[in-house]
Amino acid sequence: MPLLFLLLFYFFPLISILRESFARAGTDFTAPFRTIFNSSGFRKVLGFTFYQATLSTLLTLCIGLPAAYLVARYRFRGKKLLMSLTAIPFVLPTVVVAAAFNALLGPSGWINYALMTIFDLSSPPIRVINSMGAILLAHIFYNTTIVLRMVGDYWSHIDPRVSQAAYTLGANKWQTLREVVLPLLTPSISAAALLVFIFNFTSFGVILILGGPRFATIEVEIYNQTIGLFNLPIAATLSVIQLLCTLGFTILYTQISRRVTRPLNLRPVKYTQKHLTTWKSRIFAGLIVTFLSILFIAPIFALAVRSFISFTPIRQGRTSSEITVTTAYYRELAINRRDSLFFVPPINAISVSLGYAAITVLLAIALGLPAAWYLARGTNRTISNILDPLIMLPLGTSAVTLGLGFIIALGKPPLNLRASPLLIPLAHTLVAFPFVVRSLVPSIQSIKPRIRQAAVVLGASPLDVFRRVDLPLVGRALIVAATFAFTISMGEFGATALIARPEYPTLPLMIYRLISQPGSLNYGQAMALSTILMLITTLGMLTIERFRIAEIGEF
Amino acid sequence: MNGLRLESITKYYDQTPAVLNVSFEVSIGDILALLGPSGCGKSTLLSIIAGLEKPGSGSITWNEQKQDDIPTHKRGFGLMFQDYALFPHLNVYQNIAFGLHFSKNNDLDGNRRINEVLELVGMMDFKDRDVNTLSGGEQQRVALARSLAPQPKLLMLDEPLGALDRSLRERLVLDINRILRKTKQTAIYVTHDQEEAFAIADRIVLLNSGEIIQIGPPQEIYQQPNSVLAARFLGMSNIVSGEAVKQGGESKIKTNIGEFHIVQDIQGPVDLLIRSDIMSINLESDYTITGNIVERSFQGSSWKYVVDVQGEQMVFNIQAGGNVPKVGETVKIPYDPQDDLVVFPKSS
Repeated sequence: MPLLFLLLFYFFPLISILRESFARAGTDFTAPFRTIFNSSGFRKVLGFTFYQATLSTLLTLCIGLPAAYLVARYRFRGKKLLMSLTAIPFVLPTVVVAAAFNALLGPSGWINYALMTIFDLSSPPIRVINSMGAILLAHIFYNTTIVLRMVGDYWSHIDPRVSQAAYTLGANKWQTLREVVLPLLTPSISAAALLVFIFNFTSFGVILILGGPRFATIEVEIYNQTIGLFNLPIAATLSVIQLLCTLGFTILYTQISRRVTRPLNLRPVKYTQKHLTTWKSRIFAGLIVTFLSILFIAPIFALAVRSFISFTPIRQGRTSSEITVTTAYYRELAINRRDSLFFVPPINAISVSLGYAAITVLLAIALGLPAAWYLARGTNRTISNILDPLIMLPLGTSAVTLGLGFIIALGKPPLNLRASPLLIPLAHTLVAFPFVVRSLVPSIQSIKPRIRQAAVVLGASPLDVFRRVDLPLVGRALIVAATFAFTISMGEFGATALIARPEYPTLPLMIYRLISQPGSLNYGQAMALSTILMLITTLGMLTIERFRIAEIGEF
Repeated sequence: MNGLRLESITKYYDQTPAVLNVSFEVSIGDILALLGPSGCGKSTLLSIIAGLEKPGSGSITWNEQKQDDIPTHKRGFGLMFQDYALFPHLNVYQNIAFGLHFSKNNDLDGNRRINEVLELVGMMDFKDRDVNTLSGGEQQRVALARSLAPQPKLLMLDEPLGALDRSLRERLVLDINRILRKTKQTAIYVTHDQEEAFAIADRIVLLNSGEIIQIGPPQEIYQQPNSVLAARFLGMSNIVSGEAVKQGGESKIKTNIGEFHIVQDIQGPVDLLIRSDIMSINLESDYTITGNIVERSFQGSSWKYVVDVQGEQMVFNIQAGGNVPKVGETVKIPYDPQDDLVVFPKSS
């Protein structure tokens, strides 16, 4: 069953993309690529994709590496809190992050409001939204944690005496950093950097919402070609390029991360970390902690508060605007205004999303449980060895590509699901599938055959064994898996943006629509919906943390 | 004076002293052993001398020049770490070349010097090996070669044999001794093992809880430990309390386990150390201790006896061979008041 599912809803769409891309090329396989590379517009898109991903990665490293040094080498009060703060980005869907940065830095965001009030300006002085700055900032927000955790963890186990040995051999601080510390960290830094690069490379929501019309990456261009121009062959070729790139990076990543585990005298953190004793180290720690706190908290705080605040617009003769606390944005969500978009009350998006999420949970568990069971228990090693990487594959495929594949493959006979309400949950299931399987496998493995044999010997029927032994033991993992599926479905944007029907927008889609429309009411409602979505996903992640047994591993 | 001098070095961690008012000197070409139980502040002291940590107070001079404000990499003091801290990303040759690369000593011909020290530690054939594949003893030799290569003014070795097994340790301590003497290397050798310290040092500094108990050449420290603490740390456990009195021109110590004749002119409360290295037993002697054998174990060249002397358990090493008494027998153990007894007056 799970194999059939992957075959039908993963490989079939991907192959359809390939067919679509090469359909008109005849025997010349390079033709579709030549079309792309010969067009200066597309060359710009490709160039920009690499450019923004590289720049974002470098900036993320600039912030992540000092922070990694801090958490690797020092013990201090509030470190645990800081580490949980850095988990925030994992929780938030891209639309929420985009909305949050908008609430902080956008034309009607807090910082511009403050500046306009203080300096008595008539227009917002900071124009970050729809600029490169906003994209970079959001990428830094998302990925600093990856550098911090991957490099920080590795660094914390490197014996500081290796550096001290270098000092006693006559190397100064800078030479030691260059000749000893960096070479030792290189594998972990390059693994982290490459992962960050892959994420930036396939970034979609952030660029679409924060970048505005001026910026397009391959992902955004696929979306534009599909939704705006309905030029499926071009979109398909772009997808193929995207797939090839991510495939290449992923292979490189697995190569590098294998090297991270090479033998080193790794030492327990007890010996490698010290307290902040010198003033220099205290100032350094203070700067980093303050910066990270602002980076992680400020946007969220700005978003949540902004959803309850209305700025009265500046009128003639009155330069300062007024702040009023209001629940109007939340109340408006339920009202279907005649002039509102699509004539559906925004609140409907919540029930649409909840409905899709519920189906996704059912589908993901129904398909994930047998797959996980087989991986954990299966006696046929070869099938397991093939199945394992297959299940992880959708992770490496961009959401927009999946969406495009669905449009091409499932929009016509033999499999016409275009109008089916199952289409979106199917896409979400595909995205959630790896997470579901990964959370289930360890707990199924933990049920020793002995325990079940003991139950049978005590007189339990196979059904009893399942009900009284298996289910209680796998129960916690099932909750985790289901919550993963639910949270992912609630926040999914890339694939949904391509395949959702306008009359049934999901929560992230509705936020995107509202935020891209003018008007303070639309803006306020976007803030309100984002806050609701943020609460839902946060609750989801807290549930996962609460019920998780073992580490789920690295994705 | 030429060489290293520490003046009243003190260092606190939080509120607890790690090093307390430590002063000593090391002359050029000498080897000094810092001997003390683990956690006594030895490693902290080395870090302070190397400049890796700042002392709370006190100062360090080399050839009368203050070192306090000179950063580690400019002091020219080498340090060999407890578990070697080899650079895992470099091979044997590159590890040794590291220090030469940064050395201010331009007279050194890099390649020749590396071969020289490799030869010295007997690791010539391991030149191109990955250090992660070396055994403990091999790593130890590479670490020694690495710290010797730039010809440091002073070489500090922090428990260099601590991680190795006993037989290897006994061999390597002689090797290190030979290598350091051959190059006339000024050195501080840190260890918790008195045999290692005795084997290698010109002088020993006994350290306990961050404080110096005694300084002196190995023989002197062994023969005249200056306190019960020093004696106990040197592994001497036959210590009893008593009262020194004068009786008819003879000095005696009265203890719970009998009277002992002493040569010192002392009166008042004392602690008495009875040495355990008594070569033979049941000899006729004016001075003997009598007790029952509780336990014995064979040590190779000698037997170790636990003897119950009126309720006190005492340990004696007795030469193997000849007539060896068994558990349960009563023995007379002779002692020499001059050589076998050490008296520590109790400070009131």
